[in-house]
Amino acid sequence: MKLFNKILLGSLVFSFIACENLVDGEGDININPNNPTSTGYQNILITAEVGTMILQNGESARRAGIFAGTHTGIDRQHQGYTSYTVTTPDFDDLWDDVFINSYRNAKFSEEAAIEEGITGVTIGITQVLQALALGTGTSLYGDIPFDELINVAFENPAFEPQTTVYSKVQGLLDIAIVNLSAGIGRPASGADVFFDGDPEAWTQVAYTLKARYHMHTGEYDLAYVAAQNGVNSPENSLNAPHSNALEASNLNWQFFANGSRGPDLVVSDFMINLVSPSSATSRGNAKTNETGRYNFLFESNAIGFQPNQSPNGLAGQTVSEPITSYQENLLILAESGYRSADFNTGLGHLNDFRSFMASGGYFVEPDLTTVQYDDYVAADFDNGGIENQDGRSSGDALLREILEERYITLFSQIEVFNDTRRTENETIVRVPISPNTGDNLPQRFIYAQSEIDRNSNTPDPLPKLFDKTEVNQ
Amino acid sequence: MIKSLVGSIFCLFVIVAHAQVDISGKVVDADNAAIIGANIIEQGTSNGTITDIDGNFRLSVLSNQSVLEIRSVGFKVINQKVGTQTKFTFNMEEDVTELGEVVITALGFEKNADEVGYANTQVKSETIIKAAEPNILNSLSGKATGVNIRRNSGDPGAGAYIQLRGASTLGGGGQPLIVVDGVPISNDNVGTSQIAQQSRLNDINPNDIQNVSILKGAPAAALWGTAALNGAIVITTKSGKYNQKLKVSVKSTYSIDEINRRFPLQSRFGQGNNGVYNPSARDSWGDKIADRSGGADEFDTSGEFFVDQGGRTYYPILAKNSQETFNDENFDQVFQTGHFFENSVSMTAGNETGNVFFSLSDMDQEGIIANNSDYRRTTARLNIEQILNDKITLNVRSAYTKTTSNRIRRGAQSSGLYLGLLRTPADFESAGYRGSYFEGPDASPIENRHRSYRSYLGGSTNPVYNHPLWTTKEQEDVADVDRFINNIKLTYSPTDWLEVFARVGLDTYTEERVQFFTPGSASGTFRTGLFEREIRKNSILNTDLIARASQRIGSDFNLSALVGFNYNQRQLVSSGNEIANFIQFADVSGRTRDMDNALPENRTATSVTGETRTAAVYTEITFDAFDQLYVTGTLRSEAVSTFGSQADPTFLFPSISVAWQFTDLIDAKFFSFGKLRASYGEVGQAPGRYATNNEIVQPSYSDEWGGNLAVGLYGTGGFTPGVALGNPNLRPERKKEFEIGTDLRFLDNRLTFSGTYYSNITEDLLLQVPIANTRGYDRSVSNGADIENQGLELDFGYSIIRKKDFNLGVNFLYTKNTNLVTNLLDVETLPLGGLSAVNARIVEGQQLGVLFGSRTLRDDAGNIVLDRNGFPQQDEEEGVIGDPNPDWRGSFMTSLKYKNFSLNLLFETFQGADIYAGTKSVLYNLGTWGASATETTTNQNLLDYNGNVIPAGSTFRGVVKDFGAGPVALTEAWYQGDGGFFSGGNDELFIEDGSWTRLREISLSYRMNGDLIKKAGFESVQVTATGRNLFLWTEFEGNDPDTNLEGVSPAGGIDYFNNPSTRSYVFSILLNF
Repeated sequence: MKLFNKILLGSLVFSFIACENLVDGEGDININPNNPTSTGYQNILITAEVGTMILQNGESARRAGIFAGTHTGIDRQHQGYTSYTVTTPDFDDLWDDVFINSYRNAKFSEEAAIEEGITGVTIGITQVLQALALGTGTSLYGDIPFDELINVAFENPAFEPQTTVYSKVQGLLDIAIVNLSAGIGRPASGADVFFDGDPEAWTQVAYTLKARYHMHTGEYDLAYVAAQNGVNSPENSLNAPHSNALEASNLNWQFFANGSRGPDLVVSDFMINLVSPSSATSRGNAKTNETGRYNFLFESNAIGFQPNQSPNGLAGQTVSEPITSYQENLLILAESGYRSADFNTGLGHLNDFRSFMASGGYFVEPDLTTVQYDDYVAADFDNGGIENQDGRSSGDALLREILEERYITLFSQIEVFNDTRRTENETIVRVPISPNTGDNLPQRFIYAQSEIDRNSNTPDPLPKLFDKTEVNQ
Repeated sequence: MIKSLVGSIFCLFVIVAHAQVDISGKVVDADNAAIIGANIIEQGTSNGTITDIDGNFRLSVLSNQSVLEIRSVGFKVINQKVGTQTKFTFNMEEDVTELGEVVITALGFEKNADEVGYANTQVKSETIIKAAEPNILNSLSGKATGVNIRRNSGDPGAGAYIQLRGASTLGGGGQPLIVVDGVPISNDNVGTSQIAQQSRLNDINPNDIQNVSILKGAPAAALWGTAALNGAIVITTKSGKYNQKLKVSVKSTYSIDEINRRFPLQSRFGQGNNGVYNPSARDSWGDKIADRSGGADEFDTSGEFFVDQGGRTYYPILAKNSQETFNDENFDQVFQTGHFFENSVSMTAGNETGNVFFSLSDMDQEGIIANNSDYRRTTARLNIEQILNDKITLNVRSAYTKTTSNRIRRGAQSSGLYLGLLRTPADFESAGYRGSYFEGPDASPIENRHRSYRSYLGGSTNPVYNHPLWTTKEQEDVADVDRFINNIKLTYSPTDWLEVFARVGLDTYTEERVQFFTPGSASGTFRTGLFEREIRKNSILNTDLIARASQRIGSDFNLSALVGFNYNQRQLVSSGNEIANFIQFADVSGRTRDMDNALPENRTATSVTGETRTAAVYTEITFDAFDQLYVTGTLRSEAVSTFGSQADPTFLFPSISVAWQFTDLIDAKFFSFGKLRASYGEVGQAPGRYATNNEIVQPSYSDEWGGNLAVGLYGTGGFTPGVALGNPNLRPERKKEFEIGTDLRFLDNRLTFSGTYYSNITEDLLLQVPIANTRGYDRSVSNGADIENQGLELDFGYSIIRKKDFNLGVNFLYTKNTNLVTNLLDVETLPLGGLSAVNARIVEGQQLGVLFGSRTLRDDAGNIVLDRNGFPQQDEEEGVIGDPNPDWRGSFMTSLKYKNFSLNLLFETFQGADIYAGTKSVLYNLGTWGASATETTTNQNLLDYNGNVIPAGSTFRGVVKDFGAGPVALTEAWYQGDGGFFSGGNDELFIEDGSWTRLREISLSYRMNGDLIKKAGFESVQVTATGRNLFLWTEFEGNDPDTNLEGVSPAGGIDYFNNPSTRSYVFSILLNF
């Protein structure tokens, strides 16, 4: 029995001491060796920029297009969105695109840069990206959190009214512009895939975004002022670059040409008829030939009309996708110029846009023989002019033309949906889209189930798809 | 007197020589062949001996009142009073009740079943072999209470999900620990459910297995601590026998496998919609084929056309005249009669100091899918035991397995087999699947286009759905596994009462997977061609050091104790390369598998390593009193590397079990044995690897319904903090289980009954708790959820006839388990898997895995709300629509033995489980489902779903149904809306009863051991014919309801274009030399 007891006791003592040491491997056995535990601001910045592309050019834009009447879902989920049957889980991934893939990464990049002692341009860039994410977020969802975002102290970030968010976004852009002008702190080479840290380009983008959000809130005078400093050349457009790599390809190409869901979605008949030179409702006229644009934007295939997937089309594999562009800034100037100044201001900017288009505009390797955008003159908008065949006031006729131009130019961007909601009550000038079903047009993206489940501050009752957001009431 | 507690055949019994009667004799089997190594024990003492190589024994017993107990594994125990006789011949009867007398405990020790305080089930070698299944997991179906084996599909090599006593953990896994010869091994199921993945347990040759001990409850498995939350299956492989001459067995088995259920498809209406033919339509709601003019179709031969792989030309169809339909041809070109051929040989031999078991086997299977669906397993095993001296014994068990398998994609993907096949319209001529597309009469060919019914001229690079032949011929998914399971045990017995041993086991496998897709597949991921090669190496090193001792205290008490130390290390290394968007065309049939065949940006490499370590010390103490009361307590203290740094470093897992034999209290002739048992135990589950810290990752962001952007392809490449927040407080999940039961035997052990009630709760469950995105993360793992199970297990057996040459026995098994998720940390629901429309979820207050989806709107009183046309409205909110967990399961076995014939039947039933008929839902939507062709002539005006009137007297394609507001017409409009799958179908309408009853096995065998056979050099020859799954009774249509979209997963109850199941006719011949 003695031996028995000794073994028993000995083993127990030995083992109790040994177990912990055997498994912890000096404390790092359970640290994943496949991933780093820290990273620099420049790496997070790239992630934020790629996240921004997903938010701005991905499913959020397609769904916005469906709600704005530019796209039509003909099968599976997209068919459901087209008949406005949506449920809160349908927005989980899109919500994530706003707050994780775009905003949070930009915020983390800023925090990492500050920790590394970097000031100026880099901070400004991350702030523009944050403002872009939250401006998009509030435009689509209405009230969203702002002050309590991404902060461990807040388990249930509070939602703030849409107009408050817009004004805080403007404030953030103002700070960003100051930081961008600091003259120091450019991000490491290669870390900014849009402009490689060029503060001038970023400053212009920041101003165009300010202008865009002032448009959303109906502050056309402020929009006009901001857009004066906005993107002033195609080179300074914020465009998502793409390449031949499958997972760096144009998102429209990935969806329509290479994905299994491509057959589910087409360009709406309304949109096609608006642009098609051969259609009865074509917007072409003696001064305007839309053939080049039509060929750039669309193709007709076995599924129907879809974004042009050929190498020089809108959905070409390596074709860049616009996020905040020169052409958008020109059209902001035109609309806000007309609305806040006068007819001639608006017309002048519209003609600036048209001459840009006449030189090939935003097309890829355009065939200039199929492109014609002669300057309009005031008479074109007078009663009986080529842009006013139905006896409207010349001002309305001009505004109508600008809004229609925006509708086509911003095709496949979220902005189209912001425009159709913003101008819905301007029945004479708005782009005359009608609901696919029922009597109402969608007014927002509804809150994601993931947020409803885990944030007790999510607005209750939940706003519905057809409930207008604050700025559009 | 002191003895080692558990006798094994090499144990040396100390024979005390104060005997008064010397006896001798021989132990033989039914064929009069000597039984070597049978135990002859004088009851109530430890006096005993074993028979020698000729079956002879000698023993001195106390008096002629002594009772002899003769035991040998696989035979019934004989009790014989000595009386005046001194020379005996014992004819041992084979144990046909299949109820083992000996159980194998968690650590792999044998223990007398009648002394065990928890429910235990032993499945013996013969039972496994009788099932004639190609793999071990499936052969356990219906053999034991509390064991749920859910199949995957009939694909060769497909794994199965095994669950003991209901779900005890959330999320993935949930399968029991597998222990082979005392050492845990991997039962991995790795990879997407879009292919039938394997269960690594099936690497074991079923013919090598001696016994499977199923430790269902926490009390039985507690010594495995955090490895045994879901119970344990302890497998013992065969050994040689001491003092036995060379025995050789050769066995050949051939199986013919057929598809066992087919989906009913209609062939009365053509491709199209609204009664109009359209060769580009998705649906089969087109024209009535019988109304066509007949004769050849009219084509437009002036423009585009397609030339297929066989040189056939397809032109655009201008007018569909042909009445030909192709459902059977389309089916037959991808399905065949499958088969497997298995050959095995085993040898055993032994002398006084050692014994050997050796086996080789090869199983070669061709699936019922005609191409690229196969499985081959080759195994070798050598089990050796050698007594080195009177104190030291060495036991080495070594097995090698090689499997190769090719799998066909399935389920919810446009590149899967059934999805493309079952959606195909009856009038689509599908011989051509690959070829050249010509844009016009003079155009150059665009080669290697994929032709499918959604793209019948191959005019697009997107075929939308795969042509079934493309799925089977142009997509390859090969898995090649090399596996070694080795273990070495060194036993040192310094004294009679003490035994110390060390056992070291290493289970290691390397798996190479190659996926190759010819460019053109329907899924975007594979569209431009894809080639992937992945190599995984997984290893488990396990060491136990155990000392055990036993002490008799007086004549009525016995105490035995064991202490052990366990160290377990699991490691994984995997690395893979993948290319997409081939530069140069390459297809599956070519030999080219070149990683350079893509631009650098279209190559991806993955590399993953992982390691988990566990260390534990444990003890087991057993106390016996009066040969009536048996009390066993165990305690394990354990540390695991995955525990959080802020949690306790070690956790304790106790158990206690009590068995009380009350046989002596009941003095009735019909009563043979009675035992009451009660036990309590705790087991756990350690957190997964690497959940305690935050990580930095390089994401590839996906665009919902679209593609991806890989951060690594932009700029200088990016990293960012992951979306999972690390939790340094993680501790193990803990299951606490109480069970009570009884084992009773009557009428000289002919009637047996065993019943167990159990109740358990798992606390501190690990849960992926979602986090509001506005906080910057998606999720974090936390402890805290609870889940409960309660159940009843009944096992009833009766030997109706028990004669030397004629035996008939029956067994009934009944299992009922009720599961309840009691606390989910305020998480509304958690998805387990399934489709985006209908999925299995975890919902508080429900059984785990309930089906969640869209449902019918009901008012407060629970009545269905109808729309103005009389059709049910749909609720905007999704909810629980079904429960795939059965109310109860049971089996009925009967075995008949007459002379050399034996007949066995196994019926199995699964009752009260829901299944989502997703395939049916889609096929109704598309109009290919058989009953969707029903035509009805109405005698009253009817409204269809869109509110259009179908006037009385007209005949329409559809049926009449009354949802409560009078009859309405279910037509294309209904099935394309709420009554179908796409565009917001009401999923609840396709929740069906997934109950089934089947004749799982029937086998007839004949054993020849006459003189003729002996003269021919054989000891015996046995031929067996087995039918598996021959009859299936179920209301579920189209597929075997024992199928699982999600493969080897706790998420069950969804049928959605899963590959079909099989029934088999198996023939085998066994030659014993």
